[in-house]
Amino acid sequence: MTKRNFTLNSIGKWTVFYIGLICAVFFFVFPIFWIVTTSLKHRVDVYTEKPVLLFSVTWQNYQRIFELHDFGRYLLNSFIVATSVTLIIMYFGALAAYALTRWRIKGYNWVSLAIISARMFPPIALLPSFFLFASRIGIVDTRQVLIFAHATYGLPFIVFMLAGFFRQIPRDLDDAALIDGCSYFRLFNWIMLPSVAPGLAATAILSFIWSWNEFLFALVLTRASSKTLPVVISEFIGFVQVDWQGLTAMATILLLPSIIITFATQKYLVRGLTAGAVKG
Amino acid sequence: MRQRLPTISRPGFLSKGEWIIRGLIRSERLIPYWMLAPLLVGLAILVYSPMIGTFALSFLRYFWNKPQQPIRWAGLNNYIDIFSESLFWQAFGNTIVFMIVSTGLSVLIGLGLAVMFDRKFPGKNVFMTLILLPMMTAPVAAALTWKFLFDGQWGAVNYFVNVMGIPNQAWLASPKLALPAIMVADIWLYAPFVFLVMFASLQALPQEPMEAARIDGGSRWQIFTRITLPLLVPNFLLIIVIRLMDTFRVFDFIYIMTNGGPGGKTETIGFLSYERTFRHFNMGQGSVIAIFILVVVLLISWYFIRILQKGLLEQVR
Repeated sequence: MTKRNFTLNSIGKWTVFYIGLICAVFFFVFPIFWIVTTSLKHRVDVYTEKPVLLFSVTWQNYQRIFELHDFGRYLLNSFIVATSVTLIIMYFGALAAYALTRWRIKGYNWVSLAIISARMFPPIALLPSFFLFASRIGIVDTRQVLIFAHATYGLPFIVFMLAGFFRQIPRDLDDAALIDGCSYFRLFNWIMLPSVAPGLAATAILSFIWSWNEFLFALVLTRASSKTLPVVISEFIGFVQVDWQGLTAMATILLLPSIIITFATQKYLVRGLTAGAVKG
Repeated sequence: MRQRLPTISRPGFLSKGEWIIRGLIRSERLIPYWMLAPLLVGLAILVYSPMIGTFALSFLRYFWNKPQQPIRWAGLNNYIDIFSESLFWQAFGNTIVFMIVSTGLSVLIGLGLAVMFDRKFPGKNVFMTLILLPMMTAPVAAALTWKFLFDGQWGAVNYFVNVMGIPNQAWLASPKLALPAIMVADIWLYAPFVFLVMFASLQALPQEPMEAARIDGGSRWQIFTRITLPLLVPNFLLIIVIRLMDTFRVFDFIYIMTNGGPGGKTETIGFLSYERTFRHFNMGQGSVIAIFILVVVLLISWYFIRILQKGLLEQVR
């Protein structure tokens, strides 16, 4: 691909360009920088009129939220929920995407419409009656109900994404395996899943982050023992005196996975999206 | 029909009923339906039945914290109550303002950045990674971050504002500034995503029309507005629809940053629906607002759904 050749012909223009760029970077990066550093500060450095940039690092904020507020348990909840959701979405998403791309299904239009439009139904419109249903059968405040809700609500998008990957695998592969007497079950598990590995990796990242970040379902469906991090944080704000040190430490932990993943996958994100756009 | 070798080895052990079940499981024609079943059953339980349920609830007078109280049929009373309530219309107005400003600014910023990055310059990859950092941040963390930055007493925003010669503001407690402050947080979180999508679409555009225009003596601005932008319109529409849908049902930012205050100035209908249903225990009124949100979101997203469906159809053919 030939690169466009916008040459910026004077130093003045370059200066303006970089000033704009640095302003943008500052706007997007400073909040994260500020939260992370605040969580490492002593009390005197947090509650000041003037932002303190040089400070002595302390881990006591983290120590405190784990010791006083039982943060570890909720961290574990979040981790268990997000991991289970990821595994479920990967497997059942691939299964559905495979079915949609390999067979002509009766009522195809309705099935695909049902799957795609599910994502458009705002959670707030489902929650009143789903909550009543869940509390009637006594599954509110369990991790399972949250896992179910996250996985189901996250699936349609993933099915759509994985369908693109399955489409690139030639059907000859299926046929060869079937003629050799392979069952559909084994064909799917041992041949199809490995061949869409890149798609599954993307799925894993997106599902994990989706479940880890999700707030509304978790807020309504969990009460006490199975709360996830976003819910715990939202409750922590409600205290009379806002404890910014504790909150920033919690927020940093909540931020960590997404920051790491963005750093690690940025190149693939851009490349993947660009490739998708080229195919049109 | 594809060839398969029989795999059931000892049929004598199976009763008639088991044969039928086996037939259902193994019948070739049913396989895709079995594969789709978990997803469709899940959607039926989580999305479609609750949808009908919420619609039904909107006609009932039902306070779920008082189980001993009888559930009564309310007819259209909930609808009448909600639609004649000024707080609802205030929330609706706030939501519309939030939706338009937030969508507009995040798309503009995203596009501006995409155009800036559509050239070679030193440090491009580093800058890009930094700008994309907020992209996958949890909305709760983003809201909390900005709540801290906008804090009237200890917030860093006040410091920067002071440098520019403006006195301290109690941002989130001020009727005028609270909603814009939430917009800033929303834009901060979602503009990087818009940027990424717009950047990718810019990269994927065909180069020939621009080359031709440049040879014909078009200025860079002319080429951009007359050729590049029109070519980007489909991607534009998609991202705008996504943003409109997301901003119309904004909830997390409101819940964390202001709780709808001060004086209902940041009340949005997503948050109002939550309040009615889960804080005032008024299932009927909460459901009315939820149904209202659903209808609006479906209207906005109809275009989007059709495009996605077309994409999925193509993938089958």
